[in-house]
Amino acid sequence: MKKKVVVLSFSFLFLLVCSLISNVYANEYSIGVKSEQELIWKCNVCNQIEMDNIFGEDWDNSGIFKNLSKGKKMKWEIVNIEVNETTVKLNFSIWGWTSRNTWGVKDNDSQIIFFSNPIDYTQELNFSSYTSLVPFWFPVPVGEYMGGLSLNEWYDVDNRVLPTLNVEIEENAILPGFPSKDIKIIAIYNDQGILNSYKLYTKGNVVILDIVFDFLPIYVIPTLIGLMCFFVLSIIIFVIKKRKTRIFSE
Amino acid sequence: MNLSSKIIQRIKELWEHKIFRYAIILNVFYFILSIILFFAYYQEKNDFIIFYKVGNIFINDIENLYNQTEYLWDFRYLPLSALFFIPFSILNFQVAFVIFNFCNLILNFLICIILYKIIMLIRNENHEKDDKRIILYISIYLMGLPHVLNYIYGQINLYITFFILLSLYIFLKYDEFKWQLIGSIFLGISIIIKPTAFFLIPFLIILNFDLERKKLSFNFYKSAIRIIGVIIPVLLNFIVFLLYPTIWEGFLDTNFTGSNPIALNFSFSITKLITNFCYFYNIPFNQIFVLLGVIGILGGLGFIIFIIKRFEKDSIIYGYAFGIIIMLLVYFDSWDHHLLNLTPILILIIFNLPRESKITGSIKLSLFFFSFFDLAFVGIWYLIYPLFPYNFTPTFFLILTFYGISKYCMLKQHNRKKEV
Repeated sequence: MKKKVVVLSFSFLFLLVCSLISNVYANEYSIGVKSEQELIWKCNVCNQIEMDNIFGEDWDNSGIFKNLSKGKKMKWEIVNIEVNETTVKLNFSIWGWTSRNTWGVKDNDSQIIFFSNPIDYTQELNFSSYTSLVPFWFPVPVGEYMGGLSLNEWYDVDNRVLPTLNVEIEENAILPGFPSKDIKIIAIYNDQGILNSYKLYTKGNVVILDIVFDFLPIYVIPTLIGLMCFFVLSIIIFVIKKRKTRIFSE
Repeated sequence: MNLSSKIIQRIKELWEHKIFRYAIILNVFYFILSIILFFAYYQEKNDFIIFYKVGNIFINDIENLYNQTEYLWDFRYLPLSALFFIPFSILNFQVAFVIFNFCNLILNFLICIILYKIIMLIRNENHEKDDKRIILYISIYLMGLPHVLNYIYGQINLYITFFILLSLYIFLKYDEFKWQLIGSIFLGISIIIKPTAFFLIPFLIILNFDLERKKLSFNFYKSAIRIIGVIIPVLLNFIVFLLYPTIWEGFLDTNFTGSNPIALNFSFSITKLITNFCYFYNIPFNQIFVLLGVIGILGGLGFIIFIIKRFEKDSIIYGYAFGIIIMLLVYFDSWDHHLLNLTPILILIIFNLPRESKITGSIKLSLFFFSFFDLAFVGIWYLIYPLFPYNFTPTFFLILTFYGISKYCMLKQHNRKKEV
């Protein structure tokens, strides 16, 4: 009887595995953000002098870094999302970098388009057309999408833990004198495909630009408080236990 | 009674133990679960993809061995480790994964056998004479949650553990020079596959400073044979580096100077906690200096304590523990499944310490944490990393273990007797 159960269990498992093998299909990529969602980024560090030295004095005259400086915020509002078999398209309004408390009237409308499947990019890809050299948004699942892209040698995707795009560009690699020094970028994305953290480094791992997505998930603070309470309680219990043991042994 | 009937008889005896039965079933379940998850989700995202590819690249395009664009994730190990993966690379990928993980399963049983044999050699005389407690601890090892990730990722930690334990068994069992050489060669092979045991090398040296008598003793020949044995397999890699200098550059860049060592992750090494702190607060840092600093402090401390330890018998077990703990605390990426290299050594220490030793408490606590709770803190890290990107709990338990072992090494003879 026991033997029968074992044989049956293994046969079932084998069939299950076989069915899973035949059902393996390619990833389907989509858009992690929603219409009317607001995305706000904040600039924590902006070393204007170093940025001028590396990218020239007009680096903040246009593009995503227009008017960027420390303490300023930028807002996107998703207008609509278009997904079809070949492309995923994100249309959004932009409120550029500002230190005002009210957003006022939008500055611009823009869109980002990616192929629905990263392997559809036939040539080696780089994001040198973006001032930031990395996109502020990717289709999801972001780690798999970035991993599927055929990026040039500047880029290294690390999607083991957090979906991260490591960028290393040597001086003069884009144009003569641009950038004027070796730079390194670490761009981390969240599970919605939104750029969560952007750090631009120069020699010696000195951060000259730090932009963060200005949003903290609701569970972060309660979990952190819970963890701290757990540790404090553990230490208190440990100390009490130790004291008791000492008193008894005396 | 012939060998096969002896084995069957022994398996029947072990099967009578409820905990062992559960441990076997659970470990086999981990294996089957990994196969199901592999075919369902992780076929395109696991460590085995890299091992599978590296075998192919080694044969066909060795110059690109460390060209990371060839891999899903970085290949970081020594070049000759690729030889180990060639047999799998010539198979179909799916079949290779299943066979590789089946080898992992078999290795787990071999590890248990060696572990049992070592415990029988080093067990402190005041422990129970039967093997119930040994079976309990071996079962804890088999049930450990790090096995889940090790199987799912198609990782090679069990191969390392196997060679580490095999070398330890040889060192403890045989005293002749030829066996010292063979044992250290096995350790060298484990370093080739994955350099987790690299910091064990200094602890092979038989050097002792008697604090009371202020006398230094050094067994030069035995130490030299051990060091030669472990270095030979490692040095073979440098032939590859000499033949292909680009490989050397790629190896250095991937392991020490590239972007990956800076990136934010839940590694529990002290080095990573420091670099995560610097990353988070935009503090300029050099990852090599941080690494060397932590190696200098922890490695130096561990080695000094090992030299001035107040006992000789079975001291190599403590050297192995120091070596692995130091590696886990200093290298950039120390993950949950790497703990499978440490937990068997902790079990050996528990059996080598006197039964009622106070130090056993901290080692036991760490063993339970590493086996059953560590994984939960990886999950917690994901919840809190936007504000607090430090997976510090395993670090705490590693330091606690380091402290416990150090304390035992420093115990004076009369205190040691009191403990017994």
